[in-house]
Amino acid sequence: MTELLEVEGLTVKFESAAHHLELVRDASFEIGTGEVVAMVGESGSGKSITARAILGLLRRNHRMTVEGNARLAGRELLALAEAEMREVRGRRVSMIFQDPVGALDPVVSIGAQVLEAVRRRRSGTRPEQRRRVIELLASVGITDPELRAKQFPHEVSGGMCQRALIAIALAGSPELLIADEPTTALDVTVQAQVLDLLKRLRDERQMSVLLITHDMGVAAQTADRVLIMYAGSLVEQGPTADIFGHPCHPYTGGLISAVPRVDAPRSRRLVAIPGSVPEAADRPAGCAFHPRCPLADDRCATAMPGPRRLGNQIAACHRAEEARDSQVHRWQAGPGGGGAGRLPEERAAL
Amino acid sequence: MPPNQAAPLAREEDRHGGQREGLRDGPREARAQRDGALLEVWDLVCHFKLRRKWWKGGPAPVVRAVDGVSLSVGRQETYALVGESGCGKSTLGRLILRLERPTSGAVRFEGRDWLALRGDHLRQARREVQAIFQDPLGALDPRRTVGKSVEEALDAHNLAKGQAARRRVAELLESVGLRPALAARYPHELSGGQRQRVTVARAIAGGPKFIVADEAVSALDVSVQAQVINLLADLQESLGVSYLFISHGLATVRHMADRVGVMYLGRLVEEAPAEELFSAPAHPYTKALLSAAPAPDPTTASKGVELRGEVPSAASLPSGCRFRTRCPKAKEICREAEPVLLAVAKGRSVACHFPES
Repeated sequence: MTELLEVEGLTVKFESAAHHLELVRDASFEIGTGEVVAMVGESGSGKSITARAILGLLRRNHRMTVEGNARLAGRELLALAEAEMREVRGRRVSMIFQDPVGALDPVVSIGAQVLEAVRRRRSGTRPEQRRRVIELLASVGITDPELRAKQFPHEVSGGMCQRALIAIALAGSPELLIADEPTTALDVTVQAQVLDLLKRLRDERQMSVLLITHDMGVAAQTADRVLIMYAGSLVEQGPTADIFGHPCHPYTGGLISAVPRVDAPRSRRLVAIPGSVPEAADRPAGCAFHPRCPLADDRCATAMPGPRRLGNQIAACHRAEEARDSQVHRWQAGPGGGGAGRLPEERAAL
Repeated sequence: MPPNQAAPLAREEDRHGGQREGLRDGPREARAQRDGALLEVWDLVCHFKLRRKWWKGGPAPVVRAVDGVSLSVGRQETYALVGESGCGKSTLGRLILRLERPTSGAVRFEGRDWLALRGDHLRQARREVQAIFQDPLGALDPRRTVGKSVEEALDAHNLAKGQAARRRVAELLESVGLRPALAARYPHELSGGQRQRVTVARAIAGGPKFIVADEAVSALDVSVQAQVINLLADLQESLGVSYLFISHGLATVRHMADRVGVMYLGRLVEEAPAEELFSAPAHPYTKALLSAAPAPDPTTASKGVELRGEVPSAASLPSGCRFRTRCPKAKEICREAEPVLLAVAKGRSVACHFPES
């Protein structure tokens, strides 16, 4: 598979009077042509910032700096001037967001909003462009596209709005679609439909998709490869089957076990990762995950682990081999269920 | 009940007989039978009249948010109410909390007419019915330390004042797994999980018997969600409280619920003990909800019951069965007659003309 997008050492820094923050730290990954890559992380892990940095959507100034490389089919994106970047956005890379109703203009009909995106390509006559709008709406699974084109965002459901946004994103026939939590605001039954749509578009158009999500289930069911982010760093990446089959980072393992699932054996206690995600302003020294990690030792508290390759996976963990082999990620609730999943201080408090 | 329902009843009992005597369910069920239900909801209806648009003729449209729901929750039981947005699950929760007035129907709490309570009686009784909502940041006063917020709950019920109240706050925070020193912090200084623990501490301050938890963990990060679910389970063991656990997803309720009710457009479409609902869903909607939840495991492909379209508006319901517009099994009769919630086995009922057996 040829690589469409290559990101190398992407670092986003934000400086203010009080803080010197690294929102994204040295992230490197690739997305192949026609590949769906899921970027998974909890809130504040830096996944949206990464996507925005690649698309040049961050306001870069003396406070916000973006370092590293992001090459789209060999062309460096981070060095482009705003005018050139605008040509890339929409035509080569498109993005859709979490809140579909908020992303559409409430006083413009859905068809007119798609037409706006079609017109930016400046090709074809007006009637041809109108036909293209209907085609696009139909291709994202909107039934009765002629009628829907005349309606306004408030008249249709959230799922329909998300489909319309996907149609807008597809207007320029992009090679890469970045979908930032596209189904988080939707109901599960509608989520399944939208995810299927993304997979179908990938197959039909050989389009690559970067799917940003907090849901390991969505990643498992949709992606070819998975990137796991924690506290601004990529902690693990690899093919979906490997990531879920034998995670090499304790955080990945913890996330997999923490997801409540409908088909798991039922027990009173869920497996929980103790503590919470640190804020960007007070990330611990060494490995950012070490205060919550069951495998952490002295080295983890002092030295930041670099990414290492283990088979098909790349993990940033000093004890990745042990994490993979010992399967400690299948954190079990301790005897009586009292101790596991709590920080020592919380345990003492009980 | 039609006579043909009797046969499957006996068969179902045979099949699940062994399971029922399991350690988990046995004593609980016995207790529920001995004490009777803690909360009973009878045919509760809540309609909202919309304003008639002058450019459209006809009567003012009515949103049938809750349209005839009956359920009961036993002592120390967790009843999970599941459904997609707009199904009326939150309205039902708010009706039980008396934040909304029902159009008709009855709610009995410990045998008393819960909806008739007024004044001091109501204030007294409110101690026993508490709520936890989705957004803890919105539920806490931003200008007040979280300790003060919890203390206010004690004050409202005249439970403790001054030094004694502060001691009690420390105890409450400890019981939800927070260091008592956090009482001096403001909500914005805490993480999402810690804030939700504070609202839990506040809810249990008055020693409630019943807690409505409306999407209590939905806004939390996955790694923290599990902690709060475990906390709620622990509190149930130690305080003997019952939960009405409202959620949009079946996965989150799996570990908590004793019984599950699935709602669709204002009605219960299926009700069953959790174990049975997850292993053998009877209503096509329940089945679809189960298969739509993506499993965090690439080797289990979804089981393929996929729904078309989205939930219709509660202001213009389809004729007959409310689910028929999205149902893969819909036939002519579903258009004509609305199926009634019928018992198909002990503790199990389903509203469908063609239930799975």
